[in-house]
Amino acid sequence: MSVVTFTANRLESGSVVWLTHDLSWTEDVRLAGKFDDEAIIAARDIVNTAEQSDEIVAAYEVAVDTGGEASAREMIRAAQGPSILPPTDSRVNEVLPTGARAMLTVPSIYHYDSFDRRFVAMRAAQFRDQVERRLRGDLTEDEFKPLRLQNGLYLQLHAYMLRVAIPYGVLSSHQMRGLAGIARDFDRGFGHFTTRQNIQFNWIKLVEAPDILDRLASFDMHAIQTSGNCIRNVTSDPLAGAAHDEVQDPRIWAEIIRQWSTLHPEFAFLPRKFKIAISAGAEDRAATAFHDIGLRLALSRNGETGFRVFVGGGQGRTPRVARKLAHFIPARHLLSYLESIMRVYNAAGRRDNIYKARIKILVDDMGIESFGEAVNNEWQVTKDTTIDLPLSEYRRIAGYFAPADLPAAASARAARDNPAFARWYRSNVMPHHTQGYANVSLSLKSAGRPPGDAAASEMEVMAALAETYGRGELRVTYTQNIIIPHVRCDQLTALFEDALKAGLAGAEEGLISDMIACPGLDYCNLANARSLPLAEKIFQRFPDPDRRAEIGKLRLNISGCINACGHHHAADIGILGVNKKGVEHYQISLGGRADEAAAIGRIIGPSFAEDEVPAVIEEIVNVYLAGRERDERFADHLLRVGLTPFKQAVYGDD
Amino acid sequence: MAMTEPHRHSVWFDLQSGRPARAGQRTNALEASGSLADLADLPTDGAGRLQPPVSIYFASFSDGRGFTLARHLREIVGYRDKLLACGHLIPDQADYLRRCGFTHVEIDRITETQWRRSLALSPPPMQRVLSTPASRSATP
Repeated sequence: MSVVTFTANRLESGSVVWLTHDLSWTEDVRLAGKFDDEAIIAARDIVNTAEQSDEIVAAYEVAVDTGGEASAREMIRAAQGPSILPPTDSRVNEVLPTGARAMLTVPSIYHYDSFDRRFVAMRAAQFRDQVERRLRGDLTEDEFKPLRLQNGLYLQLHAYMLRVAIPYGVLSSHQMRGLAGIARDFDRGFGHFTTRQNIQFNWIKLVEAPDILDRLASFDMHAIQTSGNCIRNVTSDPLAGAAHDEVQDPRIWAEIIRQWSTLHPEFAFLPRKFKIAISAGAEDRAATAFHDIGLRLALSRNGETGFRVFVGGGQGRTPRVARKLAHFIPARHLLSYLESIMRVYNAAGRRDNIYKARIKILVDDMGIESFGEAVNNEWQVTKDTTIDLPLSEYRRIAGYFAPADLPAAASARAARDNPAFARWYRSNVMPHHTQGYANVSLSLKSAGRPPGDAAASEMEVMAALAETYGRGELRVTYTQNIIIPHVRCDQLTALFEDALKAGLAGAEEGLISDMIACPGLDYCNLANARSLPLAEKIFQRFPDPDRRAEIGKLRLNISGCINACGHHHAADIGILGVNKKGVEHYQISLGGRADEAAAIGRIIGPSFAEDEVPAVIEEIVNVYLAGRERDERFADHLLRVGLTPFKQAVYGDD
Repeated sequence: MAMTEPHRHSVWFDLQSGRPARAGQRTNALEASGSLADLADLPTDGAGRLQPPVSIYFASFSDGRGFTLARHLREIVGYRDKLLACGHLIPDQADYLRRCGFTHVEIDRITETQWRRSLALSPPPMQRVLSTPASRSATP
């Protein structure tokens, strides 16, 4: 005899509900009815009717007679909140930098003109119409889903989630304040910065989503194509335009790609999502090797700008390092070349199996040579048509990214007498292309904080810090931190002290504590296991900042399921949450990296229960520390000694 | 299979005018899910030109292959006559269909107002503005 409960989300609010014994819907799990035998049949009818009348969506049955505990998923759903709380919004901000001054300069970022403004306003109005039709029942959930996803709206475990696009991770202080306002007015006072340099709000109501898009449009932002089977928000180097090692500012081309891919009429219904990344530094800080298309900016021998083009990289259940498709595509033909790749993929990519629908599988099946031939056949016809933008338009866009006018500054030696500052300086201050300046990372990793989460009040502090010490410009990194570019070196001490007051001066950049973690089962409908409590336990395992600094650069990433949003494949130490007979377990892999020497981590053996993982991580770190030679990085050490010493330490000799 | 005008409740919707229109017989039919090679099987006139109108059938609105097929017909094959979309499509795709080269879409008569409304709600074409900047200030 089976006994079940029925659960769903309300269409309008997204809130989780259960079916009661008297066949109504309740937000209180204690009132959930348990149905058996004939009662199940009758209840199913009620559920179907409620779904057809658009009262509820995403209904399903949960078996409750298994004798064991409810699954982690159902427990979190019943708790109606995450197991690690987000940082609290202190509505009265007492930690704003005292020296804050009005912006005298306009940041060197793309600025909307009247055309761009009309575009995002119309897009918001279009979505309002779509939501109204959904609520009226003119659109089915199946028809509405791709439309809402292409505006970044998901239905998650507890509510709707809205993912807002931060194009290639660049935003102004003004926009950061706008995001804080949305967190406060439409959500629970916080947001989550993601590995695709976007921000997610976790407690959104469908009926309010059109108002949020209007609000976003009012400060030149949107949520276009942050989800769905389309070309997603293009990502780039968070130091673009400020890095010491780049060929040219890649943001110009990132912006051009953003415009080209926005509501592209041919590519709105691809076989699967499509991610493009672009970088121009000697060091690849945009993980281009793990994208559907990775672009590395290069100069030809006669000085022409162009791109090395890589295709078919990605993570998920079939991780692939992107393969080189073209050694040099002149930048003036970039759009027609990209369009040719998209066309081959849209026509030939698999649509019969969601797990085989990414371009990496098409490239696997065709082979990189045949795939390249198919792209070239298209390109020969299209490259001399009007797809590519004219030079005048390139110049218009490039004009926005003119190098910041930076007055000469002395490269002051930072005060090293304060050990906390010295630690922070070593890890979080990064070189800049102009002497006397630096780029500063504000860490969103600290004890008790879900990685990448920021309270609204913290967003306001970061906005003010960027205005006080930078150029009113911020960057979101794919490692879920915030960078302030163009900081004068002689102001680093003051910036550090202001950041410290706000709890944003963790010296964690690149260290074991600088974990990437997806929201996991605490928020996500797809997850098998929680990421956030494990990230917290690992953080607590290494409480001493000196010890973290001694371990040095070491990337530890956590994904709550095989979709790999936490980039576990691309980490020195990768952790993947799995569901082992209803219990959260974690599989560990070593040796992944996302830079120019990209590699996929290798699994070391059977998975562990959550409680075991922190000790296992410490074992792995100890093997590395005991065996490393001088400044040998983890990846290099692993190449030299192999997996065996790590396996022995973790599993013993048998 | 030779079909005449769309069945009872259907009507051809002209994507340029936003009005119902006669689009002719649906003789030269392609599946959106088909390959570009299927084009070779379609009847042509003496000069090798496809006989109009060509129609593309979408089994599901979320299968975007028909959009690429349409652009291929327009830009590679050079087909210039009526291009009809039929099958499962939603009003929110009106502008995408038009910009990929479709002239007409088969719709249920009762959705005609929404199709017209969705066309009017579509944001201006970012791609055209990028490649022909003069249209940046020209679009209303």
